[in-house]
Amino acid sequence: MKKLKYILILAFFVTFFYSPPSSFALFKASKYLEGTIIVPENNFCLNHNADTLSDCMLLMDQYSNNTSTAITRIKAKTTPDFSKIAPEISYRESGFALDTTTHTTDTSFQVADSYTFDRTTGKFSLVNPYSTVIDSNETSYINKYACFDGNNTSNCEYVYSIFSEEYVNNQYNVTSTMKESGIVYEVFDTDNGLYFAQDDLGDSFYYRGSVKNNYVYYAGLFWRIVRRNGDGTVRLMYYNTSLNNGGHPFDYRINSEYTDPTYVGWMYNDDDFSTTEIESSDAIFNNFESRSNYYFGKSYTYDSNDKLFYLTGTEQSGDVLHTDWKTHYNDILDGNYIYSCFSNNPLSSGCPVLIKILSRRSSSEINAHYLSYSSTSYNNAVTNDKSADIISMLNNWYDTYIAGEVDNQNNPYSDYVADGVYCNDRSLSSEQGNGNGYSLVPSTLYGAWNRIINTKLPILTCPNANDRFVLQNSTISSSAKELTRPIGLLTADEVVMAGGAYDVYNTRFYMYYGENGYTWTSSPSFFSSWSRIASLWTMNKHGSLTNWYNVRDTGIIRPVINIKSNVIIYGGDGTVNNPYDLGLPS
Amino acid sequence: MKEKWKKMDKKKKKKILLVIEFVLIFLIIPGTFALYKGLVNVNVTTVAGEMISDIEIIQRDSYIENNVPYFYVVVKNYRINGNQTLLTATAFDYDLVISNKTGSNGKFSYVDENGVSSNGYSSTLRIENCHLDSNMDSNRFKIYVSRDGNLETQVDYKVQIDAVQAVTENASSNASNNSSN
Repeated sequence: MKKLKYILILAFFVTFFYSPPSSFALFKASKYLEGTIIVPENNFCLNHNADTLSDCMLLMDQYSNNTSTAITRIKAKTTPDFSKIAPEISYRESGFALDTTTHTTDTSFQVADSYTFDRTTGKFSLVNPYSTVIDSNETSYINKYACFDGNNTSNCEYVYSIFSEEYVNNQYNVTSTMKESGIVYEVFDTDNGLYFAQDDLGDSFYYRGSVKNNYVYYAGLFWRIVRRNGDGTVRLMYYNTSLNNGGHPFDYRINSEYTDPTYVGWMYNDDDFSTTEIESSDAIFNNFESRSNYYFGKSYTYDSNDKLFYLTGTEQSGDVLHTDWKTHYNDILDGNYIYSCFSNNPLSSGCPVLIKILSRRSSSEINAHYLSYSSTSYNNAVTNDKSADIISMLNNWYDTYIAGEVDNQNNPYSDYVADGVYCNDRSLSSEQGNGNGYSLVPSTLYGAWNRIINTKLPILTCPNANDRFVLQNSTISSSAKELTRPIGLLTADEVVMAGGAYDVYNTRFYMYYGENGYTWTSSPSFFSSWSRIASLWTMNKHGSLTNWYNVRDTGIIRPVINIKSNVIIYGGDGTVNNPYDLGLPS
Repeated sequence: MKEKWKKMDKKKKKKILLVIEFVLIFLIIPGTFALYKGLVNVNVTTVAGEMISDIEIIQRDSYIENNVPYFYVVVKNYRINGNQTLLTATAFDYDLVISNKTGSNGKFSYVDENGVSSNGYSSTLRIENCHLDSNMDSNRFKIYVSRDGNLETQVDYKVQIDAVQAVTENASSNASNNSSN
């Protein structure tokens, strides 16, 4: 009985002190679940009879047992929302951390009692900010929030909570703060992997997002897989000579000529230029100051060297009037002085587009036609007559690094390369008031403009057969059989489908290499009548698409080739530490 | 009462003390702690109602990302029972531990809905200091599974939740916005 008593007393004390008093009010629970998951082997493709790059990339998307299953699964995925970049990103607050940077001021600055955080931008804004009072009362601002970014109180990169302060010689010093920033992260379950779309050759499967398993080693170089084409070939984009970081082999322009819509072409035609009166443009012309003195002439000439119109004659000869429209329109029309540049430049300056006055509409408006020295028709402008400068550079690179090298079986690397469609989409955007693709006025917007900026619906098909560039001996029908080497560039649509977007930064998708410059695509964006510049789409250093880069400017060139569908893989799983290693079938 | 106790027989005093100890040890103190194993749902009866801290594993063949299979662990503070939705009566803090069952040799990493992730893979993955309050909500965790070596490997894993009633309703959450008020 005594023993039992002591045991009970001991049990009482152990129980009492082991469960601290607060636990009398807290409830705990613990349990577990179990599961099993298979982590496939590294040689998954080879073990599942998918020894070609073309098939293996499909299987590896979801470790499918065969290509049929892989294709079914990929097609079952929801079509991505191309109005968003991939990966989609968001921001969270980093949490406050002590920062001992001193902020000194002898003037008031903005503080607030609270702040908000924008998860889409990662920026902070003060709520109802007010000015501090720096005076002899030494008002304390401990625990108040500030941006310390000039007078900025919104969209601040950091927010500070004042932790310690001091007043010294009429100066207010914030001696330490608790500082917070926004941390970017990829949204849960954002697009990643292979997705399906049709191209000109059939079912295509393209990579999208922050893909990390599309690395290839071929011809002594590293590449990224862009997509499997509709004919089973595999489109590769140059990565670099090593896996340390993405790069490019050279910089170059698209074309040295740029002052006409024809120069957006991979091939172009400028042999049939003549002066064309653009009758479709009989718009009301009011882009002038009716009180300004302009030169009006009875006739003109065109100088094909400097590509400018000039009024013939002089004021002295009576062939040219130098006057204003508002008060002298009668003189202008009655004397048949119907040509003008409507420019304040001297008569000798000339102009790229001439105005032909049809009639007076008002003291400040004119019915007019434009005169443009350019192609006489759209078909002429897109005739594939001469090659853009970029083609010869790509060809040279191909000859040196692909055709000029052999693998360890002495096969030229060009044996791996297939013909493919390189699209230079010169179709016209459907926007109202769009140019005609051959005159200098008005501006011409091309098909990719509408798809990328307005509808956000990129495509892998090339609308016009004349823009589908393939090898000269190609068996691909409905195409422009013009190329002598099977090499080209990405299209802007391919960049969007990979996760990029117009004017939105994306530094996380697989096409972003962090390079300082503009990476060319082969997609025309627009011809500007105002600046007379032909532009193609580029990707800038922030990973966003831009539409204004002049074809004559130097940009980053990332060659694109297509690998034959029967090219095998010796090994690798496509990851950066284990890229696909290619070989020819025996 | 004091006089009565003084005059009481020693043996009788001992018996009364023993009874009191029994009552304390076996009836009052153990009510703070309950352990459940092997059940799908976890609930503890609190003073006002149930603390519901259910977990669920969602695993599909298609859950592959950059060659790495993954599954989801979902922690919920509610339970759907036919037409009825039961909601936890109290907020709770919890930890998750993902580990290998005996004989298994997998490695785990995770990312949560706020982009918080583990630093690489480990054979025992701890996700600590999580929280759900008493508004209907759930937290999702994406658990990636890897292994050493090159061979196909079956990984038998265990996901354990340890939940404790939160001291205050507004304890910091791993899924909340921390704007001040």
